[in-house]
Amino acid sequence: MAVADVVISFMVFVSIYAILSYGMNLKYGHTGLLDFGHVGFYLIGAYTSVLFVLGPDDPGDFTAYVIGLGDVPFVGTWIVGIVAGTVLAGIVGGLVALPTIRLREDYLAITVLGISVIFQRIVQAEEWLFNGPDALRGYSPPLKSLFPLEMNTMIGAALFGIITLVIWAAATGLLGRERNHESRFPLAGLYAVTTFGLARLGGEDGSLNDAQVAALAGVVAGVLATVLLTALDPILALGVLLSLYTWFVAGVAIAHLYDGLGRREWLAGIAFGTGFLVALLPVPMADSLAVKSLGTIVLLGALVSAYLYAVRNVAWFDSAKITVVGVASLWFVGIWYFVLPILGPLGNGYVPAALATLFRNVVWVLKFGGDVGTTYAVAFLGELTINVDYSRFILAGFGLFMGALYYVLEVTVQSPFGRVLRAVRNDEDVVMSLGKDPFVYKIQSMVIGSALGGFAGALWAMYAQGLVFTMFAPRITFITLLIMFIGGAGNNKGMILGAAIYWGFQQATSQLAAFFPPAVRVNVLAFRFVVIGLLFLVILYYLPEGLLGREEFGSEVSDE
Amino acid sequence: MAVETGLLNATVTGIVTGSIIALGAIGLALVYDIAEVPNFAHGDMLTFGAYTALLVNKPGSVPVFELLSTGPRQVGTAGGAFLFLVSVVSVLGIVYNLGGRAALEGGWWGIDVPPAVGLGVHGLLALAVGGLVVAGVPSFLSALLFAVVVLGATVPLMESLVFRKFREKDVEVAMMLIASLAVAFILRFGIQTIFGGAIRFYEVDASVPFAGGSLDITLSKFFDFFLAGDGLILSIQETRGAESAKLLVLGYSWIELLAVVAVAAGVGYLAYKRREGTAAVVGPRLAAAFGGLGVVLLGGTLFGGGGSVPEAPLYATRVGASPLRVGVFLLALVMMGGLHYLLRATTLGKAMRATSDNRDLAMVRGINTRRVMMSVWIISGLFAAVAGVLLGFLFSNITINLGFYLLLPMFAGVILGGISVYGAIVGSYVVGLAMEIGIFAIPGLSATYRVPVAFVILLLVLLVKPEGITGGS
Amino acid sequence: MSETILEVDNLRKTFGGIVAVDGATFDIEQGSITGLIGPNGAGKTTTFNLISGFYEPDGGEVRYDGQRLQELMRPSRDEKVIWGGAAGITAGALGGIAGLGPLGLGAAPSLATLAGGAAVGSGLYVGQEAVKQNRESHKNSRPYMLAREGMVRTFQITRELSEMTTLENLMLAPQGQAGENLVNTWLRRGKVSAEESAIRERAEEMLELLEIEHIRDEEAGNLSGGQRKLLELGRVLMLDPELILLDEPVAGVNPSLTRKLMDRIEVLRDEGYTFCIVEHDMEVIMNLSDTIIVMNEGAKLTEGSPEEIRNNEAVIEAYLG
Repeated sequence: MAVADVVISFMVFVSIYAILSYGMNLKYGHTGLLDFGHVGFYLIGAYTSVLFVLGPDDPGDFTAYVIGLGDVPFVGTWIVGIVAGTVLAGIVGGLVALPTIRLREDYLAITVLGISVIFQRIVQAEEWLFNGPDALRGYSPPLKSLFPLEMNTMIGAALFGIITLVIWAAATGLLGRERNHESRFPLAGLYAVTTFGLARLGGEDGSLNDAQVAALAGVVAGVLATVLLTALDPILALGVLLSLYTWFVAGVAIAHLYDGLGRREWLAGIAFGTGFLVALLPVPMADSLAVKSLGTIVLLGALVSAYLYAVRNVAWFDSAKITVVGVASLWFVGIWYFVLPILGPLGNGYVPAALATLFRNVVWVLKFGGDVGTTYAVAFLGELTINVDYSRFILAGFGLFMGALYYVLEVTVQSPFGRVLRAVRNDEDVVMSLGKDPFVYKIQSMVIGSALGGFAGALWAMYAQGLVFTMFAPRITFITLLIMFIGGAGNNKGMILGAAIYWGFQQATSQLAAFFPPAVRVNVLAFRFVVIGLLFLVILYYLPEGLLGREEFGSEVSDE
Repeated sequence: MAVETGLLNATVTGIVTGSIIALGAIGLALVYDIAEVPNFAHGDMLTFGAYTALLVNKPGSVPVFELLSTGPRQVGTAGGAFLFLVSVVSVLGIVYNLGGRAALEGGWWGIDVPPAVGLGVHGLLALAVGGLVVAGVPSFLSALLFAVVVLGATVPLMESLVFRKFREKDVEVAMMLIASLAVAFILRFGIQTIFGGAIRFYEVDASVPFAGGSLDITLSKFFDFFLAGDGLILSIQETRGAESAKLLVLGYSWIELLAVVAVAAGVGYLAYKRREGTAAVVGPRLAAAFGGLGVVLLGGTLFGGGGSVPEAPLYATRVGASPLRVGVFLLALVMMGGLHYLLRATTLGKAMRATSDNRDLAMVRGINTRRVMMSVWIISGLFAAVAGVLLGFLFSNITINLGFYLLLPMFAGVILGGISVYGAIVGSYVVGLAMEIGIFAIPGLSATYRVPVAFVILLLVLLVKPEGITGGS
Repeated sequence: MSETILEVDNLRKTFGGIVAVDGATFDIEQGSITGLIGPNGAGKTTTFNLISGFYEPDGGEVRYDGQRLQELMRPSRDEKVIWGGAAGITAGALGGIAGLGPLGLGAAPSLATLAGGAAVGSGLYVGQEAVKQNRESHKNSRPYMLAREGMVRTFQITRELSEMTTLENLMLAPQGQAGENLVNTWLRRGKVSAEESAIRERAEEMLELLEIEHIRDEEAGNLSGGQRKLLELGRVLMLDPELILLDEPVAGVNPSLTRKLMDRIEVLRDEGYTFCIVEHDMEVIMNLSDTIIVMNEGAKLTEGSPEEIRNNEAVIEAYLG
């Protein structure tokens, strides 16, 4: 699998968990309700949505479930399923909240955890409901059969148009935020071009805000792509253009993020990134298990000690300690993404193969290889078979949900409603003394937060294409809490960052675990949870506000 | 014709389940109450205890440690030395946790002794425990002892390495909860990192010498109760395979039964009256319970005339109980008794109760709250080790989720009891009984619903009284 | 001037056998500043908590604007909708499941059992609420309902919303903001933001009025004690109340700020606001109050103008004894 495909599945996980964490964040970060049973709503969303797309249960086979609405017209679709799962999770969240919400926060946490375990046990015990302890399968995600896309058909072109829409809107939205900062590139001019002139509608006196402009630009780009594909079939050119645009915007954003960084901070970051790479070398290189594990642990330990030493003893390092880790991670990811995949071909002297690999990873929007697809002969690279696979489409869809929900949530928490939620979190008595009923707001927060959990569950069901009760263990709630605290409780953007960090860690460690013999893989995978637990403690103690801290409120409200 | 088990059997099972829950819940409640940590890692402490015992019970199955063992259940010299050393260090570690070097020198005894005496006594104790452990390898009791001392020494480290740090930052209780969740993760997956995913079990020699013969402690004895026109008949039998051997039949007439019950109630009432108002170790309720129980046992033996199993009883029910289950219950009672004595009759116990009432006030009054805190964690570790090992033995399979399954019932018991040691004991038995009787009484409810039943009880109680049964407002 | 806004009649409250308020009876006149004083443990703060609905009384009653507090504190519409809806949904779901499952009625009749269940569930809620409200012994405790009627309080130890800025603290207060409703927040953005601008403007005026513009964007947790007292007063005023209960408004405030606060309160009184103040600082209370009520051992000892109270033997004795 090309590295780009690994990254795409990573981003799908990030979008699901970001949405799941939005829900937790609304409950705890904004309202102060510690919901240790968040996974219960994730479960409800997942199983409910699946009932809408499963065909009617065949009593003769080995699976059993209560009802399958897949054959009912209009009702038996994913859209209805997702909506139903979300709504039901919200309703159940409200019902669960009614008796528990007036409890002390620790009692609340424990009882809601208990309720989520009850949900899990019900799924496990009731065989007629969702196939009991066995997996519930037999459904497929929407439009799956159309992939890989056939570009010469109208529907293929349209679906690629949707993918283009989402990617373009996301990149343009980010560019819109960056365009006001100093840069060596003419960002404002570029923005005018990539928004197709729509930027004029926004701005100071315009009626549209940046997000709306970006969404419109995405629509225009999507329609353009569809038309172009139908007329001319320039899929490679479109893919390259889209990919390069995203890389450019990402580069600009990173450059801005680390703008004020001096040379020594850069060097320190790169040194630590490289050190990290070296520390992990024993895992793929060494043969003996002892060297693999102990060697890596010793090297990592040395690296962490060096980091801590520098934090304690070097003033400039201490003030840039998080930035250095950020730079190190970027450096590490950059090498992993661009350099490592081409080392193999280069070592064997196949320069064209190395270039082809690099090209494939740069043009991440397209998938290369396979039997179906358009074949191009490109100079230096040789023949490339191009197709657009389902994972890109899923990513576009989930990314769209993640972005749209982020927007809705921002509107919500920045509004007077969000202000009351924060006041409830601070001191309920004050809220009462000001004539507002905290109960009503807490219930609403639980309903919406749980509904978000249900929504994420429905997306998970779609992605996983099979559900087992063990997927909904209390561990998921713990991971959601971790994501929330990494990013910063009370900060919706932090949920995306937290989910990215968590899944980055997960993906990286699963790749490393693959180098261990199968017999000890369980142990290695368990060890990474130990590391996650330690990381959680470190964050809670040293960075209780998370990486991004609390969101700023109040200053932008009237501008909208 | 075999007699069906019924409500009585579920009750007996519930008492055994409740005993295990109580052993865990006591530590949880102490820590929750005095150290103010709702410890989500408590379940995993039980798991830790269960796995630690494997080092003694089945050393050949423990990764890395197996290199030192000379057979599946033999440790060899190096392994023995290792276990001895760990036990000795653990015992000294427990004392050290109570207040560093000064504690080792006897500083926590409450009386002035020369440092050498303190060191000597602790040292001898440590050597004795180490010797006992190594001499007993691979017996179950030796494994239990080993787990107890190891947890007693390591569990307080959670306080000094993690929770004390958070407490010093004056965080909300929610933060403590989340921190303990992280500790739970580290503990659980740390165990899995070492032991992997395989299911394990103890190997216990089930037959022990007893009254001249041998007794299989895991084998159930069946107590069949028959209600007939002329009284109650109790028939005790043992089933091995297809054979069923009648051990004893006891018959009681209605008058005898009535008399015993009446006398028991009377003795209980008198004992209650006599001890009323005393704050001694044996308070009024305990005295009443002892008195009543004593009379019932005495009466049962005295009047236990022969009888025969009636052909058509009015009502018949069977209770299955193995010596092991009875042993679990008795061990729980003994440990609770010990804790009760500690809380009521020792300086440390008084300090603990004072700290529980009001930590700031206790500190002002010169109570060493840090020592109190550490002793609470030590006790929590000791009880968790016993609960974990017993649980592993009873379930006869040990997985990394062993303790987590029990965490929710334990929390239910603690919250039902309003976060106090005595409340937790009562709450645990309520939860244990509710779990077993609920599964028995509600038709179609599979055993998967044990924990849900416990939680439904908790939810119902909290609906009516949000602060728990005995909690204040 | 002589209209009574609050009547306290034979109010009683005990805590675990200790009588905190024992038959307190007094009136508060509209447009006046009434001081509530008494030695420590006289039950002033408990009385405050009873009047403002934060405690449930064991006996007696309070009338605000002629209406019994217990009437005013009945469940709000929102609360009724939530509980009634939840009861309906739960019972309806049970009905539906029962229809499909054990009763085996098929899809269409199950819909009927579902609806029936929902009706029974909501009916049960409405019914039990009606029964509860008709029982004399039932006590409502919904302080927020009183604030909606125009009676607001401050707290003895300031309860600022520490993670929110001063401006946000003030903007939180106004009643019935459209943006507090999620539907409006999502679908009527224009209306919400117009209203939000108006509230912001009022909050800015309030900052100016209290002369605390410089701490506009400071988190309330970082304010000094005196600033917090001002913030609390401002927050209460943002509600446009009729009756303001101030619990030790100048405790811990420096003298010059105290002076300022007192002036402010007098100005507001002249504008028609009514104040009831618990305060330990005798000088402040004597200078500020129109009427002073002296409490001792949970009941009213005496009442009168500052002059009368100053010379009252019983009061002096209560304070010394």
